[in-house]
Amino acid sequence: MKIKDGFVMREAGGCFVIMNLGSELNLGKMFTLNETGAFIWKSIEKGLSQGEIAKKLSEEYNVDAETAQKDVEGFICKMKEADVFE
Amino acid sequence: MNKEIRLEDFFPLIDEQLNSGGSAVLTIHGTSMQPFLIDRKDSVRLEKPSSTPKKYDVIFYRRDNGDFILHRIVKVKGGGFVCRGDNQVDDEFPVVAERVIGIVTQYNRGGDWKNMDCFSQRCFAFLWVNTMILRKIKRKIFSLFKVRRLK
Repeated sequence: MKIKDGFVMREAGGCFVIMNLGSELNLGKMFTLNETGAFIWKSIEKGLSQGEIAKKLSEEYNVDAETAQKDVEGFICKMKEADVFE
Repeated sequence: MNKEIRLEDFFPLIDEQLNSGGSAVLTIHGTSMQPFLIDRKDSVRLEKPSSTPKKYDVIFYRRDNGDFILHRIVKVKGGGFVCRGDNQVDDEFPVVAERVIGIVTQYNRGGDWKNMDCFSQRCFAFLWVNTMILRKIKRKIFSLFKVRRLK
């Protein structure tokens, strides 16, 4: 699972924004993440596997493993739809 | 994203995007560029200018007080640009090149993107800028009429 070159996460206005540098930034239609999404994004950037991310998420936010797994799967699914991964 | 966006918060992202060769789309806020750009209805696509902006270009810049402005260049002088909103009669000078964040390359009305350098747009800009004196006179007459009615 590797993020395509050009996609970066930035923090602005109290939220996390995914930008595709060199492309277009539309302030009216920005791709934003909540805190959980930002955590998963940073974990993917570090090269962690889906299972590792779910485990870290569970520990960080004190949620059960199943919920964490679902959150990670849901996030990855949305990222794939947005064509963020290679 | 539903919450109101403060341009000030997102300016670093816009700047980074433009400097990386990308573009930024903003919705118009304010009436200073009417009738060309309508408040909260029209959008513009900004890019980093590939050459020095010229007369009739619409530029996005930041004033010394921190305000973000989208106005048209009505004259180019040695010290900078003379800028003015299409719905205004007062000039702003100097707007130095270092303050220019981007240039409007396209505008959107009703879902259609139109180029700023197309013939019709350049004609509109030429006529609008060069007939400003008529609008200034009209405003003066209207304001005098208003004063007389109040009396």
